[in-house]
Amino acid sequence: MKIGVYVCECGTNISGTVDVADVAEYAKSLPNVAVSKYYKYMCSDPGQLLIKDDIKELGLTHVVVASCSPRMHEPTFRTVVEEAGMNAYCFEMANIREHCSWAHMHEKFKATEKAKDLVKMSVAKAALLEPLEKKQVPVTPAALVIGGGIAGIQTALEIAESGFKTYLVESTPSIGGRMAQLDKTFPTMDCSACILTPKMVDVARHPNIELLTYSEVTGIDGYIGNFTVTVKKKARYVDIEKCVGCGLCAEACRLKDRVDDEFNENLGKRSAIYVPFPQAVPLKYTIDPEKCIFLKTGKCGDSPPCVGACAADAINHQQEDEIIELDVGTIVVATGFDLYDPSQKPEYGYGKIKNVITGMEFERLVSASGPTEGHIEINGKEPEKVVFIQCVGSRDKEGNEYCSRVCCMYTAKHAHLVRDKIPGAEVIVYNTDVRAYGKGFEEFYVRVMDEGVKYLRRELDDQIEVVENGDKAIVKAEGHPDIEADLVVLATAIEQKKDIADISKVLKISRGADNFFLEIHPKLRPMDTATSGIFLGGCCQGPKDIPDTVAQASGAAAKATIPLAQGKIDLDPQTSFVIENNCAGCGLCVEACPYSAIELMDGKAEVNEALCRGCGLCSATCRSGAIQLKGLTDHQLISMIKSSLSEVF
Amino acid sequence: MTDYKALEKQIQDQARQWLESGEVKYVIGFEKGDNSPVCRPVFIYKPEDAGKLAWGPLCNNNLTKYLVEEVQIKPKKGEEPDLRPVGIVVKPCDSKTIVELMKENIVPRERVKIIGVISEGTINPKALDKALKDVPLDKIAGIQILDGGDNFTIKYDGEPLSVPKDELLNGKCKVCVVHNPVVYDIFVGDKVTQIDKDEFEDIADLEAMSDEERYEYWKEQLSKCIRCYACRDTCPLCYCEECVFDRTKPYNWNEKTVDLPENFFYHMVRAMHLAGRCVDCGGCERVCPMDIPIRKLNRFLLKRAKERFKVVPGINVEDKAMFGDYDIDDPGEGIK
Repeated sequence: MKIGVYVCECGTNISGTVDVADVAEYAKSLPNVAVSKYYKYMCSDPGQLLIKDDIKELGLTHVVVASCSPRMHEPTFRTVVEEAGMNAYCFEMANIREHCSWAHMHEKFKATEKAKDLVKMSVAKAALLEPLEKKQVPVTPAALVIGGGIAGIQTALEIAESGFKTYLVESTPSIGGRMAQLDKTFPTMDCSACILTPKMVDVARHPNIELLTYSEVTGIDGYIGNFTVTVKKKARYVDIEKCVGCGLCAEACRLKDRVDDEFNENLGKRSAIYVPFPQAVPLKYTIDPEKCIFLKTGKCGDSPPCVGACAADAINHQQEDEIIELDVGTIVVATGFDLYDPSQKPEYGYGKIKNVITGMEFERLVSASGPTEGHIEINGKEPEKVVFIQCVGSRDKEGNEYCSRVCCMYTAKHAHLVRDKIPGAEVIVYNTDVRAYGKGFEEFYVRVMDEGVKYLRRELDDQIEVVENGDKAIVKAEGHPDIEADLVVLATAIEQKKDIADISKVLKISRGADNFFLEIHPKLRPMDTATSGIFLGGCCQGPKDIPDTVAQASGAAAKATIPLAQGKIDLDPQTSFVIENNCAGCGLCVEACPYSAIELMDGKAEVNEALCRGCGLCSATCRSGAIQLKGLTDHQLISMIKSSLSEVF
Repeated sequence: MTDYKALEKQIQDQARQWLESGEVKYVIGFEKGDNSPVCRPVFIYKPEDAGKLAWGPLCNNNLTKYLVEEVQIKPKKGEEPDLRPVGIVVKPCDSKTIVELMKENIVPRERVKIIGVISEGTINPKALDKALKDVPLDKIAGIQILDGGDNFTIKYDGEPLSVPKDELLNGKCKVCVVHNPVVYDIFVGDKVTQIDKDEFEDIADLEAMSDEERYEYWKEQLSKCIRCYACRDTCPLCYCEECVFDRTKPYNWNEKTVDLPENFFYHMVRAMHLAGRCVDCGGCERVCPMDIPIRKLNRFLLKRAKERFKVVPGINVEDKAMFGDYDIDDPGEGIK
């Protein structure tokens, strides 16, 4: 056995604190060490060459690099030793930067001693490292996109364009999501539907996209490249092959104009059989099982009028949920967001005072396709004085601490729309800071102010209260005179979906303190989750405006396409394995495994190497140490501990 | 008040019936000791021996350890294994052990037929010795103990003694809230009304200590340990094929040396390996030759498991293992 030790100076990051020459000299005294060197930047080309040459000339069997965190350069050095003909898994890294020089900048002597210890431990472990063989598995050339908002639409279109089969699963009857509810988009004031609907139609038409609306993902099994997804296609009670979307059924429905219309934020009414909005894709009707008289009572007059009205014979009240299975290689989660419910803060009077509405309700009020056909009115009158209140549910120490990122600009847009549609109207915006950071945002904000919109600043902690006064509402903000307004619009926060716990359980991906899905690295891997093969698009990862959502969705599409294009993936051989004689078959590892990679077979644990991600939970829970992780076995760890505790080992 | 004689008869009758029909391989139970009133484990193979089975407040062992050994025996090559169930006599605490063993796939339900006996508490033999200090030695083996409500009545050919239960009961029985077996094929005795709370008053003094004080306490206790491993060997939940403490160099986590750090390491690991599993049958403390209060450690585990993880071991086979369960909506900080 010949171990080579390479100590990195990392410029002055390490050598500024640790005496690298001393560490390298010390390493020579350690058992099995054939060569020990130090260099300015081990990760640079000359540094790498140093290692490669030694492997070839001295016939090194194991290499230890003492430098930064393995998170940083372990893959680099694994490749280096592999290129020189050594097995990549006979390489070990000692972290003498994050764990040593950076942590002990003012204790140079002790830091050097600690660096020696770390090197000693790594050498002890390296001596026990065994070569591991990489394995490859084929990738199912298909992708799943969960969520049919703009993020999901963008992702699905781009993966499909790359030539791969894409399943787009949407839980509501139509794709389009939140963007479909918007009237105009800031800062350019494009009509939201005008830019969205062509994309929706593209989805429906694309030969590579299979659209599954009114469907939910209920189970995910497998691993990157080979996921099996269970999807529940909820009963629509309408045969979508036959339905032509004529709408005669909705006209005939006994509950016509009597069911709250969620697309219009319950400001309008629909029938029990409905399409969410006129441009819905697919333009197929759905019966609301919570409302339909026939589905609830088994009777609707002599016969349900919708059935009589349908010339295509598409309505089938006996339809049942259908469970289907999809095989995909990668998954993009684009489940979107919900909006903060301002009735949680009674001081705003939302839900009690008719004059107080949310931003999204304003969107529907101002939209030409909305319940008032775009006419802004409250209590049947056009408002003369409108107050907007920002940061409702955002930047709140007790609630959502984060900034929702879009409210400043959508409020500016709303203010502009009021001035545009009601020229004489007085518009006041209570804001804390106006965050106009995006392209064209600041210009738009200035333009809105120039149009005569009055911006009043208030601190977040300042008290604010909205009280009813006849058919008006009085906004009492601390430090400002009371304002009697006809309409008060609350800029409510973007929040994680309310039913996220259900989706989380299926996806097994983690969420951060803000409840949004957690990316693996906030800067460098913003679309990756801790589960390989599952990526994040849009607001499920955090609040975003449309451009950012589309950018991230495209990124997620690119990420999800890579394994599909490669056709096969390397599996990390550092998986767990079972020492059968020691296994009592208690099954704790089976329960602990987050990837369902372990099964009990004839009373013994068995690891599926393709599913195992090498997290080590199983070996940490096993009381008798019968399940071990390759590259981190008890023997290897014990040798590190023992070497650190004694001069000799 | 428990009528031990009546329970004993029921146990004997049931064992006899099972052995006659051949539906059990043998019955694990208790018999009277030769020179001591304390009962000892017995294996009854023949129906005519069923009359040996004894019952009383001195049936202290948790017999399920033998059950584990029975199911772990590998048949000899070429030999058909006899997979008939084994009969076993259990107290409520022992029955909780069976729940854990079933949960952990060690004892399949069909491999055991359980005679579950109610228990209102068992007697600590050391405490009994104290109470019998005035009884002549040659009379001790022949004493008879009756349940007298708040007292135990000890009969022998002399003036009967009446000793308050509090003086004689095992520590675990004083805090026990499960007086009826939780899993059984045959329920023996009249159902005891249970109080459903355990306030862990017995470890309140330890809880009240500062970390330093508690460390001093355990230092004193654990320095007594001679590492005989009796606590491990008697524990039915220590069923590993190879115990981590039996590993030899270079695969061993700790050394065999009997000194404070190694003793601490042993006892902490033993405790952690039982966290969320230990049902407080008290076997470990009963067998400790050095009188280390091992149960106090176990009681800490039970309290933490209940408070922090809402886990009460030994009640429901469907419950998930404390360290195997993962809640995606865990209210804990930083875990979601």
